[in-house]
Amino acid sequence: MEKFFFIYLTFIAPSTALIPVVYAFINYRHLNRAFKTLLFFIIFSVVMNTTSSVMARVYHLPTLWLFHIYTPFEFAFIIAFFSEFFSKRIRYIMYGVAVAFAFFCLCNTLFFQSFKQLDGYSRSVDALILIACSMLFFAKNNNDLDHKWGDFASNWIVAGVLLYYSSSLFMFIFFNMMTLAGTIQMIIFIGYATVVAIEYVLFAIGFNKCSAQQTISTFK
Amino acid sequence: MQRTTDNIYFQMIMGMSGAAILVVSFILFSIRNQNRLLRQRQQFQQAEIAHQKELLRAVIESQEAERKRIGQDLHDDVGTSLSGLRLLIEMFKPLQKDQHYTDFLRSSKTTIDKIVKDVRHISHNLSPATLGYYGLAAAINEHSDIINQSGKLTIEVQNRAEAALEQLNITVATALYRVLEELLNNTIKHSGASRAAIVFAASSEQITIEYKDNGKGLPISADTGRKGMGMQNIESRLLNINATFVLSTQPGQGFGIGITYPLN
Repeated sequence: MEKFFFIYLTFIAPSTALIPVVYAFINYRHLNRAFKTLLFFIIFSVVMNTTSSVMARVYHLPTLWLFHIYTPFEFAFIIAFFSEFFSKRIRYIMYGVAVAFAFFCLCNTLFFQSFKQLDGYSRSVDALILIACSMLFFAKNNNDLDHKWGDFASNWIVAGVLLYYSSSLFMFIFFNMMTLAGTIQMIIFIGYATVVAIEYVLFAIGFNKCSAQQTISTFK
Repeated sequence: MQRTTDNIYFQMIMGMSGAAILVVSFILFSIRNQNRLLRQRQQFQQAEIAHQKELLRAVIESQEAERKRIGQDLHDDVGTSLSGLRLLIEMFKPLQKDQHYTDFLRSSKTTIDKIVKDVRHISHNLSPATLGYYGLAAAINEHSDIINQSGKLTIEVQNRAEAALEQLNITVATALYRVLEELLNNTIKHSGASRAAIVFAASSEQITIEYKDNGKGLPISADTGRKGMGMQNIESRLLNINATFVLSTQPGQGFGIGITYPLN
């Protein structure tokens, strides 16, 4: 059973990231700037995740410091994705928030949570802001009565973002308190990996929907 | 310490599960809500279309009733009065034979005959009695004969749907008659055609009418058939009886239209 969990956590769940990447490349000419940003984010995630996995599994090196670099970039990518759906004024505010968040991450690493710990504070704030962005997106865009909810590619993407950050929020908050390895910790990691896999499947559906121009209009 | 850690793990699992359930529920409710609103809007639009169709039907029916009344009045009152006038003029004879009187008599009778003929035509056009008595095919044949007699256009009518046409109710028959009348009018006025053909066919599910002329045709575009009042009338009359049509026309290759009326 442990072997299966190992394979699931190390290979199966992370490899689901390739599904949206494949769909994105198939429909690349239909992707607008928001979706291209998301594609680059997924590629960036895959690279970071693979690096982390190789370092941990092959070289047995600590990898928590990678999250300190990953978090501000992740936030910037997803904020850039969301900003495409809002007006120019809100877009600039979002860019400002991304810069401020990067500064916050730096301060967190320097003064509160060192490279030896997961940057739990930053990731929690990251998750809270992205949950708020997802809710704002739905509040703004769910009034379109010309098409079904599922016809909009961006709805699937934001559903994935919302599901991932809401479900992972508690893990980010309490991660540094998980000191004992055991079954219950394994359950948490499997739950987390499953949510990540679902997020990638939702992204893949979103990219697939791009082929027939069903995206919510973005601001130019 | 062990107890505290277990507690945290338990809280993490509960928190993660709770958040996931909340988000999934939120998304499902959003989808359901939006789809319900979409359905309601579609139902509203369908009701609006049905209402507009009902209004159109009422307008067309009152128009037909008015045409029938005017046609009958013209035929019965004006026609009868003119025939009486003709008799009166014929009966009146001066005491002495007068060439002026003979000329006046001939000219008056010719004028009255022409007016009677015109009134009959107008009356027929307003309300073709044949349509009510003998059905669509007979009315179209009669109308075609009148046009054929003019020598400007030769119309060939083929009826391969006799049984189906006889069973058509008067509203549908009138609508199809008016459409064909309008098409023939357009052919005479605008196409410069010398020949036109009308073919009626039927299956167990539908009646089809193929109309074609050898005139100058029209360029096919999105608004073909929407330019003139005539084509708008055709469209609204066909819409009213749930019939559909397909235009087939090219410049220099004549004008054609295929009309399909569903029987069920």
